[in-house]
Amino acid sequence: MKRAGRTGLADASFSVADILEAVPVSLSQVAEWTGISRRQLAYWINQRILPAEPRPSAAMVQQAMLIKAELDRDIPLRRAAAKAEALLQAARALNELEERAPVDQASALIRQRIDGCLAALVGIDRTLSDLTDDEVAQVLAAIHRFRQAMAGGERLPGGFLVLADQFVESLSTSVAVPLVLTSDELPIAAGAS
Amino acid sequence: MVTAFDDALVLARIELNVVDAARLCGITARQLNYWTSKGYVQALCDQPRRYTVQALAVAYRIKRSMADGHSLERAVRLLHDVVDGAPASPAENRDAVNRQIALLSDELTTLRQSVEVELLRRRLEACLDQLEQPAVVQSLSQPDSATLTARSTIETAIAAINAAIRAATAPALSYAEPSAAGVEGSLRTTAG
Repeated sequence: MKRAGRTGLADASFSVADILEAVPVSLSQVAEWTGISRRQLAYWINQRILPAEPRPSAAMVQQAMLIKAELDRDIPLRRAAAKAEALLQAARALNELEERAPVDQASALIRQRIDGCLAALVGIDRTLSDLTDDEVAQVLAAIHRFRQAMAGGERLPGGFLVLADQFVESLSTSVAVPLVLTSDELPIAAGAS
Repeated sequence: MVTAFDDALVLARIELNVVDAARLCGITARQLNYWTSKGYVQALCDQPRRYTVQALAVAYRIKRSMADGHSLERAVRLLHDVVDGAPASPAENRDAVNRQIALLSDELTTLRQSVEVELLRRRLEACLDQLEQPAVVQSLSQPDSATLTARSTIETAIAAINAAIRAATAPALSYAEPSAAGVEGSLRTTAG
């Protein structure tokens, strides 16, 4: 429950990592939670597609879910695993950049992502009346999750670049209407630092 | 754009038994059973000793509120004052989205103005976290030359950070802070 520490009651939430850290979990439980059969998980571990660990970790669950998402799109296993690995590597690289790049460079990237999030919010706001009730509920859930991760905006959370990308992606997939704005419609005026 | 993984998909499917659930929340199974019997925390309808992550977030909020010194009843009341759950009706959802968009936009705009400082703070915190590691504490307490060099480097870094902050904020502070004599004078004027 690392995210909940410094803000109000509304921000208490558990991540998969919190749960796996606190509770001894079996492969069968991971199978139940991910919707992947235990046999399939064991096969992936056996084939070294997933890491062989004494206890399932959040990283393993994450990797398994990414592979499953690709398999659901009818991508063959090996290609799905490679794509999942590429995604994870890209996320790691982005996190590394956020942590290690010179502050000016990292800040510029973060600002770019913030602008992307703001633009997506304007897009949602504009199309809200056209959205179905289900879409609205999904948008609300996505905003709640993002705000929780941001701890109510008090601090810049670790892994913000990936988090912001996930947020914009989840908004885009929640609604059928495209969220495209022209540059002069962006909420932050051009030229602002 | 990197969209590695969204926890929500898995979290929505997780169900824990009372022992694991209590462990996750940092409370006893007996406490969780009691809160469930009082209706403060919802167990699954068909399995009264199993919990969703959402239900456990409620238990955790109660626990944290009690740790802040509130009674159980007060903690539950506070919980109901918090507006963060999904509202019941679609119309309420639309209102909530409007409010949440406004809140998030404000938060992001504020964050945008302090990105550099936030990054620096986070990186400094990461250094401090490392300093708190028992192995590091033990190692830095040794009186050998390598440790003395490391300690001296850290001291120099701290001095440099403080100097940099003073240099960056000096004009603003000297403008913002009135002198002690000035404050006393204005107090006397007000009192008179």
